[in-house]
Amino acid sequence: MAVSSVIAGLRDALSMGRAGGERAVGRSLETTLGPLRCGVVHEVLGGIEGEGAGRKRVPDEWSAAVCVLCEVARAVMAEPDRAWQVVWIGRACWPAPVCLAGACADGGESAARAEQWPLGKAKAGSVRSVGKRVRGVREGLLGASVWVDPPDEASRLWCIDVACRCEHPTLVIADGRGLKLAQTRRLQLAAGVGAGVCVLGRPGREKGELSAATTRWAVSRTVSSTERPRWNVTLLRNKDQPALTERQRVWTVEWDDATGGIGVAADVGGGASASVSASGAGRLVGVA
Amino acid sequence: MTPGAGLAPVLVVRTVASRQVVSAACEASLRAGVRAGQVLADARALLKSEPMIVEDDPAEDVRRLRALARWAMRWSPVVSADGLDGLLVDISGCEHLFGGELRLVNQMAERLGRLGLTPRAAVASTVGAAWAAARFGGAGRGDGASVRRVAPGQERAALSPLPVRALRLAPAAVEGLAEVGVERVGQLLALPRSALPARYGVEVLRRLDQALGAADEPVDRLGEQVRYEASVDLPGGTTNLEAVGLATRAVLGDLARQLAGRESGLRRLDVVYTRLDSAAESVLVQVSRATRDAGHLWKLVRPRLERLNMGFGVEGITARASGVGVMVQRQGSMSPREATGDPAAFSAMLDTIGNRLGPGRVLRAQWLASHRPERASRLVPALNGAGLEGAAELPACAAALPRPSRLFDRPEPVRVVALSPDGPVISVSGRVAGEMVNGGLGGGSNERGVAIVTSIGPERIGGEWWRAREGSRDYFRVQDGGGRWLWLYRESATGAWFAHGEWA
Repeated sequence: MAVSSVIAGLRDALSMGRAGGERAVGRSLETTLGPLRCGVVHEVLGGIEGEGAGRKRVPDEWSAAVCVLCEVARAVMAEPDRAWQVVWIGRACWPAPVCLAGACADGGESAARAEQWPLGKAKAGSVRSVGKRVRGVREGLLGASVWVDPPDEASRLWCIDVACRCEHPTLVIADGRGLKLAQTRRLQLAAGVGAGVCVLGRPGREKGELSAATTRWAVSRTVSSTERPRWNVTLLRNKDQPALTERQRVWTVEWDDATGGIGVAADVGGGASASVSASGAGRLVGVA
Repeated sequence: MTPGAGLAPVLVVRTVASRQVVSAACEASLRAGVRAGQVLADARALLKSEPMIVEDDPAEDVRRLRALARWAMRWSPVVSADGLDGLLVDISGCEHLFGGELRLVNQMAERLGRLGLTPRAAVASTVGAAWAAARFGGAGRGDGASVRRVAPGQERAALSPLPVRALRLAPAAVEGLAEVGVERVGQLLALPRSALPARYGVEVLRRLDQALGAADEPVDRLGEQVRYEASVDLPGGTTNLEAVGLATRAVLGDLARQLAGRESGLRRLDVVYTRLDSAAESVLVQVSRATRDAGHLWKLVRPRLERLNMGFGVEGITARASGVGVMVQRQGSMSPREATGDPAAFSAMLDTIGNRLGPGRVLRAQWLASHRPERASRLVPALNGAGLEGAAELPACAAALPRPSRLFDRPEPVRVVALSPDGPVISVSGRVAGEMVNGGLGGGSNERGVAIVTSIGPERIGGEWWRAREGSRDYFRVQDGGGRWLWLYRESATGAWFAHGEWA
């Protein structure tokens, strides 16, 4: 019948419209480490693992590699045209709230603006760095963050699943300790349905675990010759572009306090494969 | 209030600058000489028997006065609370229902007396005259209650002997008039009208006119309290989960229609299941954003319903909405929502998680105005919509200095060797956050601890003087041989060293 074909045509048009706008697949976030694809699960292995001997501490308590997680959160806030929200699931991956106060919608540019001090005037064009001068906590990352503390493993998995499926652009940063292949596959499906991206933090000792995540990063500490803490971040697996992992990309990054994120270390000589980096204050640093 | 014979006298007490001050007293205490403003110790000394002390709670008083005003609506629909201790009732058109205005007022006074209050009531043609007659009208019955009537047209005669305060003037104006010897309203009326505004303000004239009926003064109505409630009865009771579920959905739909009719949304939902032969069980659902979506509410109620103990059967379901606020209907759009996303979907997701895990597990960070790192922020439940009511901006000093990315819940003691009390840290030993401090490949270690590669500091964070016994701390950023950065501090009072955080 003519009417049913019209209806079928309308249905097609509507379904195409929905899939194009609300899904996140196809978009990616720009971070210091490169583009992170939306709509999938990424894993970051590393952090501090307690040996848990002889103290009141719970035996397998650990902390995630918060530096990289904060970097992803900062990248999310730097996207001006989408109002992202960030959900932190699991105490192991919670950063200290003060770190998040540096990141706001203009990507930390405000950190480099001149400030008028009451004693003495700043000359026009001179920049006096004051670190994190934010536009108000509410508009920044701290205001967009929700902290979730699930009581056990089953509810943790359920929370991550529900959060990934949200139709609002949501960055889900979660404690992924002890997740098996079937569970990470379920989370991949959930992330595909939702409009955001999921980053799981896992302890370094789970490197041998099978996982369905699209990219895998390993973070380890390294001695720093400057005032800033440094880490080596290695891309272990990239399912999107397998050719990249063959070169075993390793970055040496350091914590940039001004923006609450990380920037590639400036004085790393030879060996590092990244040639140009942008730290949050808008400077471009070349590496020899 | 007058306690019966044999009861203890009652004092209402307020704490002012660490002293307890009497703010109100009962008849017996007033007769004994207690006055408002006295210190509690003095009041106790004046009374023969030990008084009953009640804490002053002004917010509660306001609430109760409003409840009393709503109760007084049985006589007239136009009732408002007047100040902190009075009611204003507009009875025009209602008096014939109660047999005349004097009978109405007597009935009011008698009913209020039964509640244990001592009312002083007056009825007049204007608000000002009634106010004055009620409060300053002179002695009434022996127990403090009184009923007065000001006949229409007799306001001038009734008000003349009263003090000037009875006209609700500002204290400054009252003092100014007292200085020139005008203490009664009759004297004020005798003064030429044109001279008053220049000296005492226009307010005086306005109040005079209002009292005498020359100017209009309407009585505000107390806002209507609309209750959103829907209920259904299941005669005979049932323990069938599906049946109870269907009935709950119907009730939620009904409630949603009531809310939609007034363009409102709820923040809290209370579903009460009355059970046969047992107490009622209630399911409380909180949402982070005002909603009237029956489907969303059902999704939040259903897991709780499955865990509900139905006893011998559920015979009634009542759904009540509270925290109701205006929620305007938004037209949905068919085009893809690119830029703004769907905040309602995010709130719905938070509600689902929060209602399953419990409200204390979904939190938002609130920034507080404190230099101490452990007190600078706190996490508060997100579902009751508290949001970020703390300080809106980071203090500039806290913003400028480097802070670790993880702060330990409790500072952990470590053994530290430093060059001088304020000096750079040389070696640290001990276990911090479960991991031993590491000498790494190049760093040395000896029985006094591993050598430190970098030490930056001190940064002094002072104690907050209003908290007793809190000293200042000197913070150091320290890197060990393995590249691990710790945030250590030394208590200036005891010299002990602690690890407060690290860069993870």
